[in-house]
Amino acid sequence: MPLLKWMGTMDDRIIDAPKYWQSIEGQPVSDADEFPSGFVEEIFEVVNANKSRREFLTVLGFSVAIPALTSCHKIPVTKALGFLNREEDTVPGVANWYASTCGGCEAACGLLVKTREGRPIKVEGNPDSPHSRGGVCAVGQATVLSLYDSSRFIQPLAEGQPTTWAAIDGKIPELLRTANSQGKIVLITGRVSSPSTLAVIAKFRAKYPNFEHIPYEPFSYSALFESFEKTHGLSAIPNYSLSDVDTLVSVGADFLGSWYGPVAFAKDYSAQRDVSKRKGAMLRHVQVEALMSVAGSNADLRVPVAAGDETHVLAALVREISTLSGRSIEFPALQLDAGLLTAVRAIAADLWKAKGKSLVLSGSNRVDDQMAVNAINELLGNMGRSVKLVAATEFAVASDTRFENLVSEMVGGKISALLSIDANPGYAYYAPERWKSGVSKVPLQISFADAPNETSKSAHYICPGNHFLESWNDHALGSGKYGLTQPTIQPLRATRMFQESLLRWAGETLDYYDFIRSHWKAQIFSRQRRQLLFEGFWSQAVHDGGIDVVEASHAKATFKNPRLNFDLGKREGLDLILYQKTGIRDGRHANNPWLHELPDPITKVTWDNYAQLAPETASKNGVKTGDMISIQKGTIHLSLPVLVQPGLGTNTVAVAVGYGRSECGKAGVGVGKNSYPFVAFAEGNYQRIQRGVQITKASGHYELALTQTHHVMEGRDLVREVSKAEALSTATALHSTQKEQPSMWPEHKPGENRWGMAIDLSKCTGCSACVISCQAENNVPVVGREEVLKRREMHWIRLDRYYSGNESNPSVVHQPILCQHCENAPCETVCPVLATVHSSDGLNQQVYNRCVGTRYCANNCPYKVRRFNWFEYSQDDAWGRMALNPDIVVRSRGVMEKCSFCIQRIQEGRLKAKKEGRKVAEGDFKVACQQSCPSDAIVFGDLADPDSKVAKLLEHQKGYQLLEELNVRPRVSFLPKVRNP
Amino acid sequence: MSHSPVSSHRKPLVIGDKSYGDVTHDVLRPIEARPTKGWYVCLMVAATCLVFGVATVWYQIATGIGTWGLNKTVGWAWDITNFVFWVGIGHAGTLISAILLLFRQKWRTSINRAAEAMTIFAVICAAIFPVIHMGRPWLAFWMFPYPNTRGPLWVNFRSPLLWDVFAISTYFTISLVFWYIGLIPDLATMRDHSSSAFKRKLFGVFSLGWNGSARTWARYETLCLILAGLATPLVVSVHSIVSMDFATAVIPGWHATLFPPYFVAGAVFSGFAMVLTLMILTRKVMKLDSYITDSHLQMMCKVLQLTGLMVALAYSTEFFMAWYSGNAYERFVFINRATGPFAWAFWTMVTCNVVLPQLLWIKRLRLNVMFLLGMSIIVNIGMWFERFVIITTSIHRDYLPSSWADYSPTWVEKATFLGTFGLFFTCFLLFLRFLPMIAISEVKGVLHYGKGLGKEVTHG
Repeated sequence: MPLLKWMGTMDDRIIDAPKYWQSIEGQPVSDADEFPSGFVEEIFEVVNANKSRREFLTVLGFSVAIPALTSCHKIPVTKALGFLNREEDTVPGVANWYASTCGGCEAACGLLVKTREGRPIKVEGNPDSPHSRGGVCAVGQATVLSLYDSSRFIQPLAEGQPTTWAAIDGKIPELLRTANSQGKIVLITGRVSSPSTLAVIAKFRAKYPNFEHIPYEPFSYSALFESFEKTHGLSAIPNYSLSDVDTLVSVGADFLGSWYGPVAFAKDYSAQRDVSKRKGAMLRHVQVEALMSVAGSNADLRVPVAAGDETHVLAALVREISTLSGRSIEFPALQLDAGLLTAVRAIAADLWKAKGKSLVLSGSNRVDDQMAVNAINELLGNMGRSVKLVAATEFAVASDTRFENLVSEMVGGKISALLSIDANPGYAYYAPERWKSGVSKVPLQISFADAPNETSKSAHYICPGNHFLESWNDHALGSGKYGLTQPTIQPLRATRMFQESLLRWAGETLDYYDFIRSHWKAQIFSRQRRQLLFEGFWSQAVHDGGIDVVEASHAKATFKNPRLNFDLGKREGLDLILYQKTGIRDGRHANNPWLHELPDPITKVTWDNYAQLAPETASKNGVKTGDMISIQKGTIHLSLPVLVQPGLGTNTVAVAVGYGRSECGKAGVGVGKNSYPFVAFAEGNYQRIQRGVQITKASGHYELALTQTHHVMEGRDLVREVSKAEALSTATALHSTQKEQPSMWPEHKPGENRWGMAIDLSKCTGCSACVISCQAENNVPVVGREEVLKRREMHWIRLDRYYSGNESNPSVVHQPILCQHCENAPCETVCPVLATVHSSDGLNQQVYNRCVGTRYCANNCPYKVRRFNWFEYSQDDAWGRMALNPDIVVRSRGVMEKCSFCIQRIQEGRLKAKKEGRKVAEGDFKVACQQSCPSDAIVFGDLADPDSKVAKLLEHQKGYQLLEELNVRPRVSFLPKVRNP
Repeated sequence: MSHSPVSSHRKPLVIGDKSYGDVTHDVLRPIEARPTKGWYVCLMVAATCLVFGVATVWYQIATGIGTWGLNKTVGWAWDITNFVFWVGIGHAGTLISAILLLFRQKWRTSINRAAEAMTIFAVICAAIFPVIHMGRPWLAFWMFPYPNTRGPLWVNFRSPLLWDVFAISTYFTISLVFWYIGLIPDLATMRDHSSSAFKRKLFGVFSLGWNGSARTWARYETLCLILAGLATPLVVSVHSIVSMDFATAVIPGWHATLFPPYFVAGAVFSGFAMVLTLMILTRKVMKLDSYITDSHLQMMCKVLQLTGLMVALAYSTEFFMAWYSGNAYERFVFINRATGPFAWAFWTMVTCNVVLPQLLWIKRLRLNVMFLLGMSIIVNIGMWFERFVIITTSIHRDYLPSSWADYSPTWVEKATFLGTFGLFFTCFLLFLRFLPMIAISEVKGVLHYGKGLGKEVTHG
């Protein structure tokens, strides 16, 4: 059920607050509509002084409704009061779920947010969301922690001094009027896909006509979006679907890691590669790239190229496809390396065979490259099928040219006011000096950032926005589909949605919630017939997290042959490619310790960025992993530690962006180095691939904190690979090769359920969403870089990544490893105090309060899945503790922990079934890793139930178990990786 | 004293013409006199190490096991290595006291008191480690099966760590009792010999009213035989149980049925080496060369050589079985030991335990006491490395290569180990100062050994 009454601003809420919280000690409530000064700091003083969550809750009650007080009283911490009148729909101990939309990146995946006692503690995917269909990526899973970021702004600031919203609303409109007459007011945002937000901005523009809205993304898709205008005459953004694709070719687009919408891609990708479901058909994936990306590591054919050659590959591909189609595309002749040309020819032939059932993608930010891709897709008949164009009327997408022009105007003194939200050019703009000089000429700067960043540093007024979990918002998803964001908690601090601020300053009286409703009533409600009344329609939309209506009509797309240019100039030195890591992305999540500690799916490095070099390049320069090098292009230089990366393109150095933040919370400051200065503005877009880069060996050595230091399987039978044909055969090849071995221990008495898990290695892409999901669900602590260096990270599930084949283009496999819950667990026999025991439903249970920490169990575990608390890792700040799951204890130092098959969820499902008087059924619960996996690689269920998904999967496909010969009888089986060569 | 005739078959166990009174006098002299400056210096050094060790352990327990160099792959390294090292050393004392008693080896009499004391102190040092290596040592008492109202909740009798608890506590108890019982006649001697009333009273209490009558002696000898019978199986069982910590695990390199005899042989090897070290040093300092003679040292050397060969055989068996089994994981462990990141430890072990002890075959070297001293220390170094190699190299690279990790000790682990040496030597030095280090009554019993009755014969 949605939060029925949105309380609006802080001011309104005081008056509407329930009676029994109006005062402590029975003081009368003042009629003040001003927030008492010093009040909010007092809360935080109290909170920081008393480190226990219980005492914090004493202050704020079991919901986070903040009580009113007269201005002259400090808050006494006296009693913890339970609700006298319990809020309807809230039972302490039972979670409430709200549908919302993720704000971790622009993909806008639908979420179901789990709240306990009024605060969100976990996000899961919303299965009804049209693109993500229940998947969530690692970044999405980590957003719940950023809500409780203690570095967030507490209240609005004017010139660095705390102020009130009323004061802000009194002052700012006047300043804006002045700015409007003196120059141009500019609002920079991220990519906006919210029609209501655009309507708010339109209202703002109406009030201050000398205004421009410029979306900005440091790692933008501006070339992609611009290209459609040029090739198809339509200002549009693409929606990709792999649901009918047989051949997928990606040139440098990490569509499974960080490009565009990895969750939606992963869902389709895994379905298309399910050989048994598709009766023999299997998506063939070819990746041509410089970087070893997550997508590339899963490809059937991977062609490593130098970063600067990705463009040439597209050129060759266009030529091949145009030849095959008989339609000529114009561009000057180009030389391409012979070997590469052969490969491209074969790829083109493959694509042509799968005409209409293929897709070509490119990660490039050159318009000509994307135009080439459009032409290829058009010629292959993919337009309207695997690529659907969505009119950009409900979007405001980043255009690099417009932003560059803005900076020029700023330097020229033409901008009188700069408002910013979800954009941090102070950090990510490639010419920081130019930005600084531009910013110094803007007399009025207002930042809506929710936490301090490099851009808000220079702002005169900070009007902090809400976290998406505290906000209302809507999202256009294309094709008549819309998503909604609803708040799952009252704003923790005195913050306000930025749309609300804009509305106030535009002289509107509606709050943003009502504004969204009125916009939907006018624009969206009319395009559907299921609901006759708006209230019913609205409630349904809020409940579902979105709605599906008739698509708004738009102009048709007509293809015209583009004129392409692939001339990149002379080749010299090395190529540099800047990329987004799966966790940190463009740097907006730099203060999220979960994402820093998430091992990169390919390199397994935590807490740093580095310069990746191919083994050949590294040995040519006489460097190995950890050695320092200095990368130089023109006047820009950066020194970074080397990471030797098998499979990286020749002649290439790859550096991740998003690091080297200087103004953010303590988790992110000084971690890694800022590589954005290497971005160059060329051909109208920000180019992330540079040529003519030099590297020189520097002195010094830097230990990179890797979670895995050995990368080959040493000939051990760990990940089994089969060909498509073998996968289809009647399972004998995949059969467990071990017969039942005798055991000296008697069998465990079976209970009603036998929990087991099947992990499909064909579907696992290595995206690591499961790692963060498990961390959020089970209160797994973050240990920090120093401890990761000592190999003490605490993740209960890890992804082992192995290379095989030759160094320059290895075959890569990802294998999720978690506690195997062995029937004959070697850990159970050796614990002297019986802290690890076996349950009747097949779980290996770790009893935290009994563990004395001898670590024999961890030594005896052949899978090394046990995690020991070497220090007291669980000391969070008072805010970080709010993200803890109350169903799980927080382990103290000296105690062993490991995957419990989410026993709290099993128990919840069991109790739910018991209350309903039936047995536990499939779908009563999902374990955390299973639930967030966008590829559905993890299947968990009751092996004792022959109809359960996991039993059926294992019966037909006969997975294998890891280290079967030890006769530990694990409950986790793996389905082999199927390759489609 | 008059010349006693000398046996034609046996070398005397006590050199020189010593009378009963001489024995008492020689052994008690260092105790009754003021301690030498050397003793004070040694005690200061040992006590400093001990205090440093105690402070370090305090810090480690207060802060966490994270202060050690362990990680999620290598859960045990110096902690359990030191544990096994000290327990192993203790076995020599029990062997000398108990087994040699049952085998009627009269030469044990001048070394058994000190050796048994060494055992007790070694077991104390060993017992520290299972307690402090726990993540939550304040709950160490949960390892004991005591009646409780939580079920009752028992311990896991299948766990080798629990067998360790029983083994070590039994071993300590028996050793202490045996050592104390053996001390009683000598405490009585000290009572009778002491000058001050306080000392007389003190030793009187501890000598339990010993009156030296024939009946008392008869009971005493019976009791010693019974205790020896109880302690003898412990020599084999305690270290077998300690080896089960590894042998019952699934980890290649640990999972071997060879371990119990291998470890027991190793224990006796290192124990005798430590006894040699201590005896060579103390007999010189306390001028007791007539009692702890060169032939005693030669006897101990023979045990050293025998057990050293057994250890060498065990190493070869392990390597052979690793190859013969064809098990890839097993083979890899041994290749990794010899050529991997800890190869330096492996080759130190092999050199110190297998190669260098073969020099003892050379009589000229064997008779050189300084050489023996050096060799005994080398053997102990080698034996420490053996445990380190077994424990650490097996777990740091086991089944899944993704978990392979390295290990290096932190200053905390090194200081703790040093602290145990401090504890050991402090205890031993105090023992030397306050208690007779040679079993006076037992030596008196063999005073005439090798000195036969009848015609005088001169020996060359």
